[in-house]
Amino acid sequence: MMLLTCPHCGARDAGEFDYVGERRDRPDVSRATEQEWRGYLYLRGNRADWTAELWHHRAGCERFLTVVRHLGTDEVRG
Amino acid sequence: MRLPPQPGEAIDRTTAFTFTWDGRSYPAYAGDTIASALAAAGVRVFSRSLKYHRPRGLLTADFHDPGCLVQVGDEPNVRAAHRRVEPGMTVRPQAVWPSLRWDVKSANQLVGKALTAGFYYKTFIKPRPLWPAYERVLRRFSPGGEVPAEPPDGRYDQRYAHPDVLVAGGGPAGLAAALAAAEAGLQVLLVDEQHELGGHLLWGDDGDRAALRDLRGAVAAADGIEVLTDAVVTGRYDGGRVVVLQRSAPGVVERLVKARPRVLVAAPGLIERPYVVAGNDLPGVLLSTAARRLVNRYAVRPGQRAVVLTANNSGDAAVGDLTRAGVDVRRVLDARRGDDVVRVRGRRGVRAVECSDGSTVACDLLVTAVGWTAPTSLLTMAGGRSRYLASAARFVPADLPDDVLAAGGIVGDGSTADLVAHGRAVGHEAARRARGLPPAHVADLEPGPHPELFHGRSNGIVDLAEDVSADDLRAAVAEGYDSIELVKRYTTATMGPTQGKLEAVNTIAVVAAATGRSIEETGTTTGRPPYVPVSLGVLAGRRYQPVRRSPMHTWHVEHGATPLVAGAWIRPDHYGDPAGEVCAVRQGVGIIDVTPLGKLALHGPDVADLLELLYVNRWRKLAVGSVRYGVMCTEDGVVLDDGVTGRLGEDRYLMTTTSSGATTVEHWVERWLQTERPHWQVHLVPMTDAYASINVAGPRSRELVGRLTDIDLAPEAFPYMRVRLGRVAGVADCVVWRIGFTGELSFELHVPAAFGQRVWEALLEVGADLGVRPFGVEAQRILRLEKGHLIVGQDTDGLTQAYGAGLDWAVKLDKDDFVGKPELAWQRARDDYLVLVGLQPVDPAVVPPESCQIIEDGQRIVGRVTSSRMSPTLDRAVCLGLVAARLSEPGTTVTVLLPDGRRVPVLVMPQLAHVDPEGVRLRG
Amino acid sequence: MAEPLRLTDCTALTKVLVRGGADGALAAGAPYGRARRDGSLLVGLLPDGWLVIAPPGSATDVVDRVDAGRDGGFITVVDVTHAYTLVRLTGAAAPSVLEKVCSIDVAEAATPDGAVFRSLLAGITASVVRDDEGGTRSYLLLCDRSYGQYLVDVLLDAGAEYDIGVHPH
Repeated sequence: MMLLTCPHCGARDAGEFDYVGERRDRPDVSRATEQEWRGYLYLRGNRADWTAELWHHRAGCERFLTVVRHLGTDEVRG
Repeated sequence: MRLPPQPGEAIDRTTAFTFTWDGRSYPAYAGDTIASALAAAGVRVFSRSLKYHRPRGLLTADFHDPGCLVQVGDEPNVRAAHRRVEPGMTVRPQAVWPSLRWDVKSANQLVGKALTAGFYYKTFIKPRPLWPAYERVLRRFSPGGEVPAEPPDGRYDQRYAHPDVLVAGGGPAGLAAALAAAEAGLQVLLVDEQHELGGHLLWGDDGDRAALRDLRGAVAAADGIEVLTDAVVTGRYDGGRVVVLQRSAPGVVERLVKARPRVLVAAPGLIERPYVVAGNDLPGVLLSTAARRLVNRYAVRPGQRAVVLTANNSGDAAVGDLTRAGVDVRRVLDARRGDDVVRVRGRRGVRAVECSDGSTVACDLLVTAVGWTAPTSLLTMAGGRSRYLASAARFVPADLPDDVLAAGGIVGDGSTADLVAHGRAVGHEAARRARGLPPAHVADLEPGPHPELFHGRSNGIVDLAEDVSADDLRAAVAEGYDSIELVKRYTTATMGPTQGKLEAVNTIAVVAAATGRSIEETGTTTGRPPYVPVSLGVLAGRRYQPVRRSPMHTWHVEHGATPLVAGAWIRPDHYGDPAGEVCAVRQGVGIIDVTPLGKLALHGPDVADLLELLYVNRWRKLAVGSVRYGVMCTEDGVVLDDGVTGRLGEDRYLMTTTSSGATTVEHWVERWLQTERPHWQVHLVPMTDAYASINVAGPRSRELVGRLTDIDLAPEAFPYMRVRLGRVAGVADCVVWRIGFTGELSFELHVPAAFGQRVWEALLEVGADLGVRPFGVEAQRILRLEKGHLIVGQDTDGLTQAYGAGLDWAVKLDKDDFVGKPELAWQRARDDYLVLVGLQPVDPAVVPPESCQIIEDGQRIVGRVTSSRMSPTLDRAVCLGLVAARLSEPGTTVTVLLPDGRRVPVLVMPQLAHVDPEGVRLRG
Repeated sequence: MAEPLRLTDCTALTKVLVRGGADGALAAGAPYGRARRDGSLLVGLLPDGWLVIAPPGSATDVVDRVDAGRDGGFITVVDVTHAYTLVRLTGAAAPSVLEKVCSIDVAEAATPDGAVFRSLLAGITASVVRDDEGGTRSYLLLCDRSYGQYLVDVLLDAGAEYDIGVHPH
């Protein structure tokens, strides 16, 4: 199983975490066009490159963590 | 034939017993393998080959021997040359019908042309409709044993391990590496496939045995080395996890050890390679290491008269061992001088060997020592590579990651002292790396020169497990399958139980020669876990299946509740009569265990802001003691969950969620607090399990609860949608809600969990004269359906936005912001979605099953029934359903397609509620 | 002889959860991942959450004591006694039992006395507090109350080969 290093708990099995998704900024609700909002909802980079993701250490510290992971190699930047 | 005692023998001659093979009794000693005991008794044929049903005997005489998979009692596919025989063991050959001696399927040998490369694809694929018939026939020919109908006795187990260094392989290099790492103060897990540590030293000479005694003594005396024998590393996975299959562990059938070492040392030694020449699969063809194992470990004389083909010192040593064992070694063919075997003759066993000088030597044994394969698959699984070294006629490890090291024979050749020295150096380096020091280079053990000997001039079997010959491979190449990966899949070479350990390099060599490419250019197939077959039992382990129980669980069981598994919860579905339970609630009073209901305590000055953000409706004006129903959507406007939230104090709220959505909502709230609104002062404390929750429902619920509480339940003091704190049945700190999912007057009691059963029983006791009855989830579902209360996830789906769920009244688009607001604003301007409506079949006796389609024009799907039941209250079928907005006008008749093909008319109702749409009962 | 393995139900002990105040006195007493004893047991359960484990029936006292120690920061104190099952696993073989159900390293170097971790135990989220008793290995295991019976069943199953015994509190 993949290991993820949690800043609070150290290296743990990825099974302790929930993958939430790529980090995204929520558009301003009062001004967002349909295109912007749907981009926020549905468009993902999904590139084989370094990507900032949101993970939830559900069975650990319960923190939502930003993890910078290389989607090609699964390496995680500390 | 059994030899007199040998100095390094593994058998204990003081413990003799018998076992049966193929219906006959055979003698054995403790320490014998099934195959060694049988070989000592003169048995030579152990199985029939996969395709041609040729007789097969011992070849490698170890775990990987392809010719001796047997059935032991109920257990199929036992490796007879590895498994130790036990007194009274019942051993049978596998898939040989009608007998091992006379196998009708060997007729396949006569029609061998039909079974050439790719025969599965060519022979059986057409005509297509006949495939099921072919499959039944082919299954009788399959080589596997019989899978037992019943689970085996005993337990399969798993455990985790966290060694600093894991050493795979307990030969001289592995033992030395483990010692060096342990001497550096580290924890070492040493894993070896054999029953004892020692690797090839076990069947070696006096000097080897002396070296082994020293090494084993040092390992036994060392601190920090855990030894697993009869265990094998099955793979290395993400994050450096190394999985070890431990076959004979005390107390369990098998155990899977999931280790996460800081550094992995691979010291698997070398695997001897068979020689591909006609007749090379006959019983009596042995590898030199097999001959040495049989003589020196098991005191078995493997034949009478032998020819030995040798290209290395293992073959030379085998000549000495065989001679000492009294075998008449008729001819030694030295491949280093150009000697060769042309073909092996015989039908049920070796009868003669044709030599390259034109002579034919009568014999019953051919021993070959033509080269080695380095088992690099564990290293390639770890991200390393292997590189072909023509001078040594084998692949060697290359480009290993920093947390993986290779030691001993897999790297190069040398004396026992050289192997030990290399092992020590690697172990020392492993210890450094486990401590986090930067990698330093360890001088490689140099691979010695060895002639390239893969296949001779006649056609032999390359893959003995899959019965693939050299000509099969050549035929595949001729048909255009010229990549090694394609040849593998087309011919199934390397895909059998040996998984390439014996045959991969020979396969590559034959394909290389047939394509005119070099071995480097041809390349290798990809080694994947598991390294050896793994039983399903050990993968399942103890099969933990978490379940949640309410504090009243025992009561439900004792009172005949039919259990319902809902998520992880075990809940009472009903107590025998759901319709009767419904009537009790409508006419008198009932109680239901709703403990799984999600309960989240929210504390802090900014809770109202949080509720405004996460719910689609308004919360700012909620007074202390008041309760509101709320709907949550995700950012795409789809309904996520619903529930009531009460304000218990100035900065103190209790949110409830659906039972199935409790964890989702807890994480949802935390996520918004942690990522989007970290500056807000709100703390969430999950309280689902802190309270046993009991809903008391029915016109007499006020009377019942009133008998047990000091809270004033009078309608004016405690109106609908209010919450109070107080004592119930003497239990302090209860939360009492006046809400009504069932549509009846009801009070929901949240009782500190340890007192749940006390309060439950008190309600039944003091309410006996009111006719109080427990009711289950099924009655509750009927009650809420009669009332038209939707269940998120049943009456909505992953596309149902709030307006489609009939929640228009709740959505407050004039709030500045809430989760999902933009999508809901856009939804309101459209009419292209399904809308939740109340439905009643025109024929009151027809209950369309849930998920029935609503259709138009005979076939077009325009909706579906989401909930349906026979209503005991109305004595008719009632439903909820999602229909196209244009069909949602009350009074519209839509058509429901039943599973049996009937189409029935169903009326769209003016509201979701079938019973008491005005809510008189609820507010009473 | 090694200390025999036993499982004790400690669910009746008072449990008070404190959220917030990660830079206050509680954090100084027991940072995340550590536990400290002074009469009651203070457990650094989450980066901003502490659990006080105290004798049965003392919730009001504990809440008052924590309230008295507030330093003005935003803190929430909740009696969660009923929310969790708490069991104690004691004996020389206790680490071997945990190794069967949990992927966390419980060796002395990684999880010494006073260490706290939260992880998956046989598939459920649980907190583990190493809290030795008179030199004998001992762990407090805390999980959601509804999973309590499941956790006990799992521990008895995993501990069977070490002759685990069940002790009343």
